[in-house]
Amino acid sequence: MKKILVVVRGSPYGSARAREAIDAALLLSAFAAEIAVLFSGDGVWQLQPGQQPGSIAAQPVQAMLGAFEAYDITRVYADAGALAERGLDAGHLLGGATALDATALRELFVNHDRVITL
Amino acid sequence: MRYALLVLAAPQSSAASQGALRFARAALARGHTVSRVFFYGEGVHNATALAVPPQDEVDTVAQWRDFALANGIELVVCIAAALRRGLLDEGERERYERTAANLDPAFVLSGLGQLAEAALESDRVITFGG
Amino acid sequence: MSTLHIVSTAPTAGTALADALRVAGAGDTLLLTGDGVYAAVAHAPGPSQLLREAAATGVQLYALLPDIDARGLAHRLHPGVRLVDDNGFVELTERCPRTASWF
Repeated sequence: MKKILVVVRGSPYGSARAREAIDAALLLSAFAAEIAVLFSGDGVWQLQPGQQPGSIAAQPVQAMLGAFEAYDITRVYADAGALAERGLDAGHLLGGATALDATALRELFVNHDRVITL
Repeated sequence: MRYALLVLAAPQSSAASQGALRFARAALARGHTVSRVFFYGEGVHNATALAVPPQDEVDTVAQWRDFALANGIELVVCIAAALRRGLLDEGERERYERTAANLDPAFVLSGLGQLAEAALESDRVITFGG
Repeated sequence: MSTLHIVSTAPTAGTALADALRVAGAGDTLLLTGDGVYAAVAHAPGPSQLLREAAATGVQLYALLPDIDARGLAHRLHPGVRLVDDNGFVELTERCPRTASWF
């Protein structure tokens, strides 16, 4: 069975990209033997705590990230370099994401058969 | 080898859709199979039957249609992403009681499961985005 | 088991190139397509530095010829970047068991 890595690169609220990426990750998890989700680039903004998108009448991403557990998506990662560039604290991320340095990122890619960027 | 392509950008907003078409043609020319092209996110705009590009511009929708018909390739559009953007086939038009359907008949609406299946059953998945 | 990294946005329009090159390692291949080919311009200080570092760690660098020609960049290329046409793009995907797109 194939292992799928979903790379999520869209910031929340700026467009539908982030929401649709999470939708796809949740759905793909039902089909793949194993799935991992990597937040990369501006995608790491989804992991910023304290989002209150009610102020712009948008749906919070927290609820979607919270669904990872129900879908048995336990391997949730963030690019440590992308976090650092944006001043995000790797110790306080939504979705239970673990920060990976460049070496660990390389290993993550090598360990998956398919990479789907959304 | 069997290829599946994922297209995530509208034809007017980036070169990704044209790039995917060129890649698909080159893959066939090298003896490969393109089993499915899946359109997701802004990529669903590739499936509109109503775009009227100026005559001196490339008609990307027509190119996808001709390519798919000539080579027996499935063009699958994510139904959730399509409905959100006002891209409906006759069945969805009726279900949601909208005034018109606008999905080009060379494309079919289906679920994300079709992307999963393509990703798992083909030898290569190539994503074309923004 | 190498990866083909495909970067399709300009280096000045986001962090796709830098993000891809954090992941790319020895034996991997980078292909610049679409506006991503602007990274292949010699003397663009930021991208050139990234490409030099990638080449030094053993990443092979390519750019898609039709996209280079379309943008008038054929004579302005970074010397470490090789050109492939659409047929060559497919060939790269045959060689690399995994592709990752960055945009």
